[in-house]
Amino acid sequence: MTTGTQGWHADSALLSSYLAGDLDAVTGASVEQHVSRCATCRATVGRLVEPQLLEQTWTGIRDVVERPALPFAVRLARRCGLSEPTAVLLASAASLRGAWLVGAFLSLSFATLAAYASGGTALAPFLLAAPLAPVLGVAAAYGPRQDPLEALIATAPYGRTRLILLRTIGVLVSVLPVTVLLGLAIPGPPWLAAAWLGPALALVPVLLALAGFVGPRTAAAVVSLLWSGVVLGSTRALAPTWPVEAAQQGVYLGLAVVACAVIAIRAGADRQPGVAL
Amino acid sequence: MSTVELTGVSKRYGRGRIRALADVDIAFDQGVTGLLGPNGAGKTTLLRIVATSIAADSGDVRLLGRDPQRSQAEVTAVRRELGFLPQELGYPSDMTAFGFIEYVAVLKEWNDREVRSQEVRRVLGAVGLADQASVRISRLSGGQRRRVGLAQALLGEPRLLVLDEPTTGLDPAQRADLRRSLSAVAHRSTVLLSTHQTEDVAALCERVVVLAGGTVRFDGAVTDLVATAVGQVWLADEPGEDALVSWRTGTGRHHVVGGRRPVGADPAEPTLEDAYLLMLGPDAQRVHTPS
Repeated sequence: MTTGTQGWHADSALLSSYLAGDLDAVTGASVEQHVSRCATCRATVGRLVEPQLLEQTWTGIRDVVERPALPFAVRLARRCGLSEPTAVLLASAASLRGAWLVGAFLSLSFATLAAYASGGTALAPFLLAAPLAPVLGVAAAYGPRQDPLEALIATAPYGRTRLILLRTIGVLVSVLPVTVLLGLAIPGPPWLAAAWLGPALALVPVLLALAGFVGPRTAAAVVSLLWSGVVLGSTRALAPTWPVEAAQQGVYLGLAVVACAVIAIRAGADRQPGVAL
Repeated sequence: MSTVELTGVSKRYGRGRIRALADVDIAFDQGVTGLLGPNGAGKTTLLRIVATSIAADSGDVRLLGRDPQRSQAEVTAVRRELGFLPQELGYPSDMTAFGFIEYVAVLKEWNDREVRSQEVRRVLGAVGLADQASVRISRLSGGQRRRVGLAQALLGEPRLLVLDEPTTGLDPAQRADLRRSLSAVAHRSTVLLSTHQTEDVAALCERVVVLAGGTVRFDGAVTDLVATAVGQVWLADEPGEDALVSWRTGTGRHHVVGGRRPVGADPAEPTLEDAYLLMLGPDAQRVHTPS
């Protein structure tokens, strides 16, 4: 093969060997350089390659270029076995994207730091933030303002209710483990690290039930205010752990049951077909 | 049995104050049907009921042989064969055209990644956006966004295609492209579209339904609607005094629709728009229909 000669073209045999990977490294690189600059040889290569293989390769390249990248949390979930279609649905939720998760993590970290610095006497910041992080995450995962595709979601076979529940689980799974770990750093009884789960798991169905009437944003504001009232009100005369003690956990359980009942009743009575949330 | 059957369907908004549909009986079959009517005529309400987005207050709705008011399973079965382009569709600005359609495809249960990708590319190609697949929606023009919206409705070659004002924001060339895309699916699907553009109906639809005040004013072939205006449209030197509407044309003469024949006027070939205006009369200007 002669290189650097104007008008020279590689013959079919050489190009076939190149395509089969039979050339040595130097000759192969040389042919590749030439093909990248010579339209005639590229056309010959096109004829020598199986059209099916060419199409497959091109589709693979387009797949990488056109397919949007999944957020880190969703990629992580994919590695843990989350199905690819579910990952696509989760990736479009604002509260499962990096910026929101980092924000939630930082807020919880500061709240934990404050509780730690006070030696366990000021638990309010943590007890305030820990249950509200999933509540706000769920509220940010759906609704007309957060998801401009509401009109399509409402008429898709997957269903709005199913999508909201999927995203709710996605938010809980992404926020709860980190919060439990941060809770372990707080001075005080060990059960405190998990005790906030009671109000968190109760406030989420309360949010979903309320959002059916007033939308997720207003519902999130109402739930946040109520929970803030409980936590801040208890700091005046009650023990720092009062909002998450056993008696209150029973109230939260009752609230969760009532909220689920409201959702179920609305599912039967709603004027929009197939919509429970 | 028709693809879509509405019997005695009524719908009110605003705690019953605003009547959107009043006892509507209508059926749709394969082919393209255009819904014409002024704002507030009930077009969007009718399309949303057919798209299972809202339920009727009363009456029977049968879609693709199923009753969506009976069970969730019936609703889901209808939605599997439905393509819907809402009047106002939000477009997530951070998504690419491909990402947007793929997201909708997953909602439509296209679970196999490879097959889904092929389908997404097919519908993007069908609306002439194959080369824009990786472009963010925020960078697309209004017309291109509308075509992305149409592309998602075409996923899976639905048996029932519901398009609420698909030509809004499109320039003439884009509208011609859209007509081409729709005519390709019309032979195998039931297509319902609402529009304010009578020329779209004339170009696309075999059948036209005129709605006003929540009731059906006309239901028939486009040619039959045009025929109702024969003898009521003239070209005159002066605007018609009691005409429903008249305007000066580029030739200097006045196009007169309705009323008495002006002196010295020549009969003119009526257009679909003339017939539509005559059909509605003063209702053509009405916006809401409180009752």
